[in-house]
Amino acid sequence: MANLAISNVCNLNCPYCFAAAYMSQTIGTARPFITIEAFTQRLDFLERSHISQVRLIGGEPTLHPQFTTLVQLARQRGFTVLVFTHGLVRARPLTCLTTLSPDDCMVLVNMNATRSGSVPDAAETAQREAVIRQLGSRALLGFNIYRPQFNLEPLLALIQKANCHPAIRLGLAQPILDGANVYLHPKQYPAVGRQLAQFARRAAADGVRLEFDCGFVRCMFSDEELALLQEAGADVAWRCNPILDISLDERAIHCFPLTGRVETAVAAQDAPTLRQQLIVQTQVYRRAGIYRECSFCPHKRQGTPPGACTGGCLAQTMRRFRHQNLRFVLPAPTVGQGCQPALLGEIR
Amino acid sequence: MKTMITPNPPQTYFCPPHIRWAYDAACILVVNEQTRQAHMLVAEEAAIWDWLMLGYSYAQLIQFIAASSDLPTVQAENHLRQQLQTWQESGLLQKVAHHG
Amino acid sequence: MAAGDIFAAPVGSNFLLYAPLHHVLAFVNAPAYRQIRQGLQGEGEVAPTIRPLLSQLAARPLPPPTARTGPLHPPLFLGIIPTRGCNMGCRYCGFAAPKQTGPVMSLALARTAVDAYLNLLTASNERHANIHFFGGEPFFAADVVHFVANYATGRAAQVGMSVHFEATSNGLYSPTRCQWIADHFHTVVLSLDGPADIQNSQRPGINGQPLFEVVARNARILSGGSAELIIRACVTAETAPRLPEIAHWIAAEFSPRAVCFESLTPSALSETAGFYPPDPWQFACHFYQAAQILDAAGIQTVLSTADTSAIRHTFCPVGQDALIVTPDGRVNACYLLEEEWQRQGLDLRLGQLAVGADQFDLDITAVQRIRQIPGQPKPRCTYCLCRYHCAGGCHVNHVGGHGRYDDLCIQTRLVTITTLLAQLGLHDVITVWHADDRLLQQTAWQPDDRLLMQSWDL
Ligand code: SF4
Ligand code: SF4
Ligand code: SF4
Ligand code: SF4
Repeated sequence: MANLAISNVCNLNCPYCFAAAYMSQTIGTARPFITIEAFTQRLDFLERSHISQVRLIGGEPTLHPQFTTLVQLARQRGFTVLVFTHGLVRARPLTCLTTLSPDDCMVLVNMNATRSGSVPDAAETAQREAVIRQLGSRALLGFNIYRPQFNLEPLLALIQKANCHPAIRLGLAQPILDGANVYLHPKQYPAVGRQLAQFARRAAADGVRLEFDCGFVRCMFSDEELALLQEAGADVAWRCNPILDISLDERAIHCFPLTGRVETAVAAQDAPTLRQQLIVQTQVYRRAGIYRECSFCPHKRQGTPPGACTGGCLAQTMRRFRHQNLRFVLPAPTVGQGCQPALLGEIR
Repeated sequence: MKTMITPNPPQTYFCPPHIRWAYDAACILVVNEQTRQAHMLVAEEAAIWDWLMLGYSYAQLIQFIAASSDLPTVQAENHLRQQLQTWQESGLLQKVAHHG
Repeated sequence: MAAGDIFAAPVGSNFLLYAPLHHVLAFVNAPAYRQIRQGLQGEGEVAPTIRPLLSQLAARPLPPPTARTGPLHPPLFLGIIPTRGCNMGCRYCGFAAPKQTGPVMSLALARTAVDAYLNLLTASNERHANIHFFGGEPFFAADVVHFVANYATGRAAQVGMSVHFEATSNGLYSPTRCQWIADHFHTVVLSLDGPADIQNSQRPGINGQPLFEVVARNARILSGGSAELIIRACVTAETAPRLPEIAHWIAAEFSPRAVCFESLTPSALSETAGFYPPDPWQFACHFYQAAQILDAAGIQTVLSTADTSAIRHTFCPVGQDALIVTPDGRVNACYLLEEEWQRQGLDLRLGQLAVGADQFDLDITAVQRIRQIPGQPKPRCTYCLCRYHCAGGCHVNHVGGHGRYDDLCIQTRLVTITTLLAQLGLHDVITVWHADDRLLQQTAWQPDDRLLMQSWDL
């Protein structure tokens, strides 16, 4: 998998936005939207990587003035399309998406995207719901958890009303490594775990499955909570696996939170090679995890999934690392300590 | 033969920017972003690293080491020097080059 | 039937039924209340809906919490007081003047304390150690803390133990030092009374200078670090009405695990400075509003005497064999200055610790005597529904009152009942009850909360 950034602008202002670092890096240094020529090269890249799905990200991808053309190009070459959007989609891109067959097109709508820097207001919610109704089963609802208290009930109701894809994609807001977005601190994970386990049961009763994005960890759920989730058919996994983000200026980034820290040039390489390079770059940090206890945790020691925990989000882990601009003066050794006998001889 | 002997000058150590560390449950995990090597410091080694990074002076470090290992000052001092040497050899610390 | 541990508090025309030893919490109307009373006495008809509740109440309760006995248990924690000195000039703080100086614990004594404590734990096969730092301001003698944190971690690891570090602190240090605390400590109780105007007027520097910015910055660092942050706000008569505003501010600025609102303990110093404890009735209502706000942000709100999460025999470390070591090697059961307990006729000294010793020199008769202190309930507590969590409150500062409820009791009782009603989701009931002084008074002043001893004319 690889995500293609086609726009580095966004017209909303989510407090937890993890693309903020990426956008501020590219704004002004490049055109804000991908060119048709560059997009064609990206499709070549996907082809040589044997990837059949085009995943369009931003900023907000639907703001691209030639969004329809890009989608058509991808479809002409046989790719299915996945669009990550804030959901306040304008008429033209929306029409483009609704004309595609639900088999070829999935739209992941971020349900708590907002202009306000806090929670979506009533107007935003109404507009988003109207878009989702038009998308129907093409719409997959997503929710970013960035506070320990949140309410997913309205999503269940909307899935029924708008006949969306019967799943909710949950993300934990992760920190931009060198940034200042609002994110969920690992200390708050167990509180989130409790709520999700309760909610999973209600969602299952409605036939809605919970899907977990990267960064969830095993120990945010008690054994009973995990059993509840599994009973509810939730797709639980404890992973931090980079789905490459390919930037407008052709860098392969581990993921948005690690923009500027873990990335490499795309050049003529394919996705597996790039991913391998990025994993090698971060390997040394993967010995640790988001908690002090991770390096000794039996769940981590288990090795590979399923069941094993990678120790959470690498951006969270790397945030735990410190550096000190230390300058330490070691005085000259006094006779009798720290000196080699030979030296003492010479001094005399 | 008569040679001019000057005593060893004081030595300044610094922690290069590619060295980063995290406090884990029972160790300090130090990573070298250049070599991509990790070093796990435990027990007294971890303690000395932590005190050093807190900015304590030579004299204070000796006090800490003496108190924690119940050693006379002279031995604590030797111990500290050896430790700094080890870290320098493994690249966790570097010496500031002296000029002139 | 001895149902002296089943309590009922009138809330308007209904009753909150609370029997922690029976795991019962219920809100019942007057007929149900009457039937339960009669049922417990084996009289009268009981409606089928009430029978399960009644049988739970009639079942054998948990044993009431009792004093520790026998040899020294694994102590609750090791308390270390690196110094009695403090770098702040809080205007209500009763710690002896001059606050900024005082002896500092020697590294040798600190090491001895850790060794002796770990030896005690090893002897009783404990795997987890708990070390709490108190002051003055513990980080005013930061080198002692830096030393202990590393020494204890290393020593504990050698014997396969883990250590939990906790500190109570004023938050006045550099960002680097604060980051260190956030990285090493598991829990930090930070004193932060509110936004700038409150903090600067109540907790200025030694020369009266405003320090809000430093403490707020450090609260942010702690909030983003590994340590669990607990914000402790001292509430005065002036700030009680602002609790909701303070709650909003905390929720927006920091993400603590909990916020403790504690009312000011009056002293000659606080009175001279013009600070008074809050009105308990007002406190309880504003506390609830603040708790609602914090709850929506996933933050717990605590009043220590009204914390019903555990059944306890004593409110605090006193009586639980906590060993609190002072800078000069005394071992006490309470972290306050000795003069303060002596003023109340209490002796909370457990023994002493000599540098280099491998164990504490504890006076076992003192240990036994201090264990009994919480077990001598104050007359007013015997029939109070808070007796299994408030347990009489602070043994030093909450005394006197001639057997009647005082302001702290009223506050504790009202907050407890409000919290229990909120646990039942009865927010509308709380709103109506809080709006009516007469109803609040009726609840709070009930002299005997035992269900079977009440004579409500229904
Ligand atoms: S590896 Fe870390 S995050 Fe994962 S379960 Fe263990 S302690 Fe939790
Ligand atoms: S570092 Fe890992 S868990 Fe965190 S956002 Fe990136 S891929 Fe996801
Ligand atoms: S009477 Fe007062 S001190 Fe005693 S338990 Fe009740 S509230 Fe606490
Ligand atoms: S007696 Fe009072 S001051 Fe002492 S530990 Fe108990 S609650 Fe704290």
